[in-house]
Amino acid sequence: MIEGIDLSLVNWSRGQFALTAMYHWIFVPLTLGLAIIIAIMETLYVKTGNQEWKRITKFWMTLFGINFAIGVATGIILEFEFGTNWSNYSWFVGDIFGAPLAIEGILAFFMESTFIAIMFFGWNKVSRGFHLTATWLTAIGANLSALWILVANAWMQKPVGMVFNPESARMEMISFWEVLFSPVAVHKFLHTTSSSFVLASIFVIGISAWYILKKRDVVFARKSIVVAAIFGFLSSIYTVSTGDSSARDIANHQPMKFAAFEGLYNGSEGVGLVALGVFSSTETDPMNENLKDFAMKIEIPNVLSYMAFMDWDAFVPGINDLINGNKKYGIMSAAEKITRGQFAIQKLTAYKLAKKSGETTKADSLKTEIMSPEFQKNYFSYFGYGYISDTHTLVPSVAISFYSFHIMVVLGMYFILFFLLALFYTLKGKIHKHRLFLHAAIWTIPLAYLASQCGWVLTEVGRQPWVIQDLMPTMAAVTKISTSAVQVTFWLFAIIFTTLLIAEIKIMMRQIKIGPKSEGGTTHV
Amino acid sequence: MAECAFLFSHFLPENRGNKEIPFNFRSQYFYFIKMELFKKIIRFYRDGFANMPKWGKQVWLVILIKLFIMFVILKIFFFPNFLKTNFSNDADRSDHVLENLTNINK
Repeated sequence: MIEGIDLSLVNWSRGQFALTAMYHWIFVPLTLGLAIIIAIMETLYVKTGNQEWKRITKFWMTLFGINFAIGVATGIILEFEFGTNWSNYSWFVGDIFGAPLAIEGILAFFMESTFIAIMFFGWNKVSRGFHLTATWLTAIGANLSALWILVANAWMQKPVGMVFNPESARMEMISFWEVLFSPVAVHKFLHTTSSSFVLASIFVIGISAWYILKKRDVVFARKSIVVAAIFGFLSSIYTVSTGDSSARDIANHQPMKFAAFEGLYNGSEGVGLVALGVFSSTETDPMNENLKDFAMKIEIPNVLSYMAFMDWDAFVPGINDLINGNKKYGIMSAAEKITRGQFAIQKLTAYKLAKKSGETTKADSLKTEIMSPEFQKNYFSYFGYGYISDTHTLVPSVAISFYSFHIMVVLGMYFILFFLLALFYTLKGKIHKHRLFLHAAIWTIPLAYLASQCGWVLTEVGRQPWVIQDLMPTMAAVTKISTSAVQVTFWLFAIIFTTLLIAEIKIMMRQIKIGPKSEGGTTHV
Repeated sequence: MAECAFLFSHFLPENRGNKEIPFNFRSQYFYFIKMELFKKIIRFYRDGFANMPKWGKQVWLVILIKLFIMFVILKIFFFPNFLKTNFSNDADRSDHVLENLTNINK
């Protein structure tokens, strides 16, 4: 079935969405994290009355303002793409996606925008307490904005709280709270926001390190580093914890993604975690070039089993177990899932034909059957498998999943050490002597962005071929429009977003060069 | 001042006994307060924008250009909503998606 779709259209549509989402994500994490850091700095100003903290707050607020302004509305492009390039998907998900996004727009975005004005315009016009409240509400509002889109994304990874209605051809929400408080959504929100706090802390330390290297505004830089290092350290520890919970979610709900990002082809009990590994150019399975052998790997015994199921000796299924099935451990084969998916599609086709031919009674009966909990659980939950004819396509890119996961984790561990060193050197009053560390701090900024992007690459590439886990493959989600139209808009976006990024970097660099001493550039946006 | 005059217009000798001017001190008081608040907000934004530094003006220029490109050029010419443009009602849209879901080869 699925081969009928133009692969180049799917790939260009995916490429376009990835491009816009990745560019959007350059701006978002800094906004989320820097907003909290600014609020902490302003709290210190209000508590101590020390004008230096006010100067520090105002400077970082300027950089926050530039990043916020350049990044604002870049996410709207993604919504345009849903309507044009992913119309089947957009219709199919219905209110499940619409409701959280509407809440995001109405509640969080307006809350954020209102209080941002007070943050920037209100320094000498409202009381200190009111200004501080506005700063905190901006930070909370920004993070609440992220909550809703992450809830929608989490639903795509683990669909819950809905029933498929064949009449409307849509998923209909039956429990808003189940969607909102799904463990996948909660962990995803906490992991994404805490990792954004880490990124923003690294940004503050990196820029402050530049001032120390230039022997400018050293007191300002040290104070900024102390706040960012403490906040960053706590956030990075929390990110590890939430990442661990997210990994467990993946092991339970997306076992193929879990096996792919660990390069686990054959499951077993007490599986070790590959701490570091490099793939060779040879395949373990000549029929599937996606499954490469390891050229080298360093494994920590039993850790993967514990990470997945909190049991050192638990069985972790590998890619081959998930494809071929494993009766001993109750793992259904892909072939069985495909049969069930095809049965669900056949029922839906029968409903469509009955509706078309005016056989109302038959159509109603089929609708009732399709919407019954038994059918939804036993057949419709495998609906997407009905489009799959080659089981190899059920495996995401192992190399991309593996490397993006390991780059993210290794950098995450480095960040913890980095924050500890930054705090130690600063509190000892010797950070200016550690020029190598200061240079490393500047170069850690792009590494933080790399780790953040890798997290999303793992999330999105790792769940392929699904756009909605087990329910809709990416190929079924795409709108049949001309590939050339998608190519044109891909390059248009590439130009627009690159221009925006250059504008942001230029404006930001200029403000960094001016520094916190300038009074003119730090009060308003 | 104009608000004060309006608020206390009931007490002016020429308006005394004039039934066409309803005497509702409370509602007029709140109206006055609301107007004052509204004016304060307007002044707050006006002063904020007027005293904006160079970088603030630059980012606002970027925002305006960006929004123009997104909503006027991209949305209208490149990103029509496929289902809204091609189908007039939800029933037709759901039929189309159902057709795609059940026969992806077509």
